[in-house]
Amino acid sequence: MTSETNTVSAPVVRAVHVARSREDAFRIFTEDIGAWWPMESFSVFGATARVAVEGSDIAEHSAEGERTVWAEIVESDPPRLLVLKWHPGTDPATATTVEVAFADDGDRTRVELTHSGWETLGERAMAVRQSYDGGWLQVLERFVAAG
Amino acid sequence: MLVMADTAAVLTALGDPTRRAVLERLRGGPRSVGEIVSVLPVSQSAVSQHLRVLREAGLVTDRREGTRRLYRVDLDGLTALRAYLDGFWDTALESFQRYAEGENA
Repeated sequence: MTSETNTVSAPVVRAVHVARSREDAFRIFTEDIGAWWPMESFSVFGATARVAVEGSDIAEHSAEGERTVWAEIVESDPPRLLVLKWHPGTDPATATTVEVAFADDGDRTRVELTHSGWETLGERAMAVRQSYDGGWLQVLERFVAAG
Repeated sequence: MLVMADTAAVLTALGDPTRRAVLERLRGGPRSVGEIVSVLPVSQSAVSQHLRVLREAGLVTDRREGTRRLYRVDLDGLTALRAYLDGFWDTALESFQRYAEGENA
């Protein structure tokens, strides 16, 4: 069970090289997301919808004027790093983490995306529960000592 | 997202603390509803409902054994989610690359 779990538990890491400067790559990735995002493949409202960065939100608008937030930008350090709380089509409570790192690679820029959090929701829950268990144990030990 | 429907079901299923607790309980091996209920502060009908959501998300399978129905973790749900995310980000990044290298800025 443990080894099986491990095979699926690594974060998703994907990278691409673009023949642009880091500054350009970062700017296009964020400001121009509406121009390059493949809406026909991935959207909530369909190919006619539009996506844009709006303040700290990445939001999609349908042709009918509906709005849905895909992600919140939790860290923006241009032209180096972008961190998103990612929850397209789902409740923000189920958000996972997407980190996009921009690095020089010769005269190109390597854009590396790491999607994590989705694979460890179960493990995280366990860790939280164990920390609670530890906390209660301390409280009880004090109670016993006081008695 | 359109194609994200299945993924959303998995993430939504994992997003609920009680359902995560049910999954944790099942990590130790197949269990009946009664065995899950015995360690959780929720009713049997609530656990049955959570198991249904987990099953529909592909995270849990069930099997009848004698008079009992046993539930177990189904890693296929997570494996499918992972494969989906690999393809999802490949498509998005390729689209980004095409646009970035074609753009005159």
